[in-house]
Amino acid sequence: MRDEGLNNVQRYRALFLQEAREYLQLISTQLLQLMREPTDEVYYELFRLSHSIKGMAATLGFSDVKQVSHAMEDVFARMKKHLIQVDESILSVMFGAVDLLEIMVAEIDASGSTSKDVSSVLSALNEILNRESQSPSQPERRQDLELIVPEQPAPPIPDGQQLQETRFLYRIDITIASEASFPAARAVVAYKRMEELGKISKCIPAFEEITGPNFHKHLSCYLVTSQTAVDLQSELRGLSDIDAITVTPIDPHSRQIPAAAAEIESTNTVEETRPVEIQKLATVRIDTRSLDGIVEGLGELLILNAQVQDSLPEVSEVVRLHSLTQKLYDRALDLRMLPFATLSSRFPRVIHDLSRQLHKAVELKVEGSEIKLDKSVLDELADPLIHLLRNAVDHGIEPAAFRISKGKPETGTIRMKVEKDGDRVRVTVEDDGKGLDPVLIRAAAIRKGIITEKAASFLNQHETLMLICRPGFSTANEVSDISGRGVGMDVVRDRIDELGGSFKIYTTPGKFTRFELLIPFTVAIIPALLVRAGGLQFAIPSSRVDRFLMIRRSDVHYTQGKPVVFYENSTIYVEHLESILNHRAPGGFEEEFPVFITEHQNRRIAWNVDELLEQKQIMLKPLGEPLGSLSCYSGATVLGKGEVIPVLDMEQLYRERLQ
Amino acid sequence: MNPKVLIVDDALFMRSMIRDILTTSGLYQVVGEAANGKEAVQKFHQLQPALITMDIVMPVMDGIEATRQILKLDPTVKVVMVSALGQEPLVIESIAAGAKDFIVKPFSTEKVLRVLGQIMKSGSSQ
Repeated sequence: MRDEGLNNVQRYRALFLQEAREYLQLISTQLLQLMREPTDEVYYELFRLSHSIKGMAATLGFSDVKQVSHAMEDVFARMKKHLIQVDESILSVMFGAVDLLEIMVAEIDASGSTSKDVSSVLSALNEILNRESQSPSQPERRQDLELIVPEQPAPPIPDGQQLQETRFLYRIDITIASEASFPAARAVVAYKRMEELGKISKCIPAFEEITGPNFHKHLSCYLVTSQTAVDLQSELRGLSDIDAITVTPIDPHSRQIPAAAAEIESTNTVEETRPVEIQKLATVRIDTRSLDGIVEGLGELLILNAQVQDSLPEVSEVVRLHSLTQKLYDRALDLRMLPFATLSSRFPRVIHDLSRQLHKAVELKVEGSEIKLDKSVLDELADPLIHLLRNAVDHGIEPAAFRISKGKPETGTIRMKVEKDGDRVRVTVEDDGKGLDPVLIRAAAIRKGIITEKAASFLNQHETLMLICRPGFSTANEVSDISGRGVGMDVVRDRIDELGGSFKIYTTPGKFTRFELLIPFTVAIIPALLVRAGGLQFAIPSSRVDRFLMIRRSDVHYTQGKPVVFYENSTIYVEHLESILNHRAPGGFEEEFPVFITEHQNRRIAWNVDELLEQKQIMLKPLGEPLGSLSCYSGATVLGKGEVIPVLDMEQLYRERLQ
Repeated sequence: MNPKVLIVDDALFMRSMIRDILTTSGLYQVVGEAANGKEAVQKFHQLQPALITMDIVMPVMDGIEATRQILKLDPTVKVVMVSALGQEPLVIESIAAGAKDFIVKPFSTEKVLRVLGQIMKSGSSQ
């Protein structure tokens, strides 16, 4: 023990053993979590836990435990800063380190000390850290600098006036003890202490540089204060880890003072013009919210510009203004576009872990990962895609022996393909597994009360397959830890809906299952169909609209009292948009009337409107409270002339009013 | 009356150790302990200590944020950070946030008492 004051060593050791075991257990749990979903919280937890173990071990003098946990902490700290790409090999080193610490803790428990050889684990941990240090160390340093947010040192004394009021100018030299643990932090404490005692007019090195490489444990400050030299001495003497302090008064009545002040000022200016490290960086990281603000602002500018153009159609400057604004807007949107790879790089690990867990051989092939999508779209896609991958490994791909017996390659393949399709992106996830059996799905849905036998008999194959997106559905006979009881497919569908995307399933039993997602590149500006219903205008995201047509009254049939039309081999229910929105009984149909068709889980609806107006790009703006709680509106948009038009969420409208 | 101290650390181990040092010295009155920053803010409300020893890395809310929140409530309270090796940037951030001083783990009884003593002294002279 390094400290004679610690009298109750036994008790501390018991506490250490108990907490260390608990923390190691938590580290294991968090490492598993890391394999599934690496989030900043997970990194922080891992960092914190190993940090705590290190602190306890250091205090009790278990230096081997300290060394290992310290190295682990360093690795997690770098993961936290995204300086280390987590991979299989790193995880196995970390698990190895946890195992080792557990053994060491057990030894300490049994015999009071540990003699375990830590060198191989330490060198593995250091190898990870060195791997990282080959990349430029600049970003890490920059983060430290950002962390500090130093206050600007007080400006040099502006004129003799202030000097006369405060009366004393001192030069204070402080040398930090050579053995101080954190010399820079010590110097910051000293600086802050001096600041409490007076006004610092100059400091060498400058406050910001204390944390930089030019700080050599020495601080020279000019302090303007009302305190006497003796008071200052005694105030500052109490600072910890200080080797020497000298306080030199500079005569307040001497003519030198303004000169001294001037000199201070001039040197200060020179120092301030020195380029700051941050300016050398070619890239900046900004909060996506500020970027969203810019995009939104430019979007509004674009709309305002369209309004101006309406009233001043002939003015060429307005036209130029429009094209310029459009360009800026596109560029701003472009800033939010990230390659699909930023998301898909996580997937091989997911597949790897799952296939190991389920003892299945699975290979993932990703195509088109260079295609760029809006960051918010990528964020929203993460969970649905991971879920589809899990489903594919868990339910799709068969065990190797079974595959071989069916003449399939032993290793199952999951293909994820990203491709452009007009103004949308198609993402397909296809596995060459056992496929989905519509007969089984139908039976399971009926058994689970998701659909009545009669209703099920009306469904076509695709509609039947889509039953797996109903809450609580699963065809797997046993509950699985991996993808659960079909929980999630409904969430997948909801997410895609929210993105204004569509979702389809294709399958051939025994051969493959393919999930096809069609989603917009970006969410801020969307193409929409403008309609008039009940005399009011509404916008419907075009991604939701299957097609629009004119229907003759003579083509309308009635099944169970409900108006339907038969079109493209399917039955389409006809609804009045206005009466659905206003909870009003529907009126009759005109001789010929316009509809737009939307597709929902198991039915297609033709929405009767007064008029189909036009298709155009609109900027979707969220509704503020209290309107935000009206779930059948996904937002609103402002048209060129300033009219505010609600944007309908057709899926929600269907679910709330028709399902 | 000895100054009231609140000890904040997520490890019971550390809390016990600091409590023992302070209690044994006969110079301080430990009025409470908190296991994270959020709890520290709550306990500060209840107990109104004059001095707080604050761990930096803790769950729920870290010591730096807790220091900020507590000093917003009462700028006169003295906060001393308790840091492990390798945390210098965090210590500097804590001081920028208003902490008066810091102690580095592993620490000696003498060091703890000296730093805390100095803090209390500097406060009384103002």
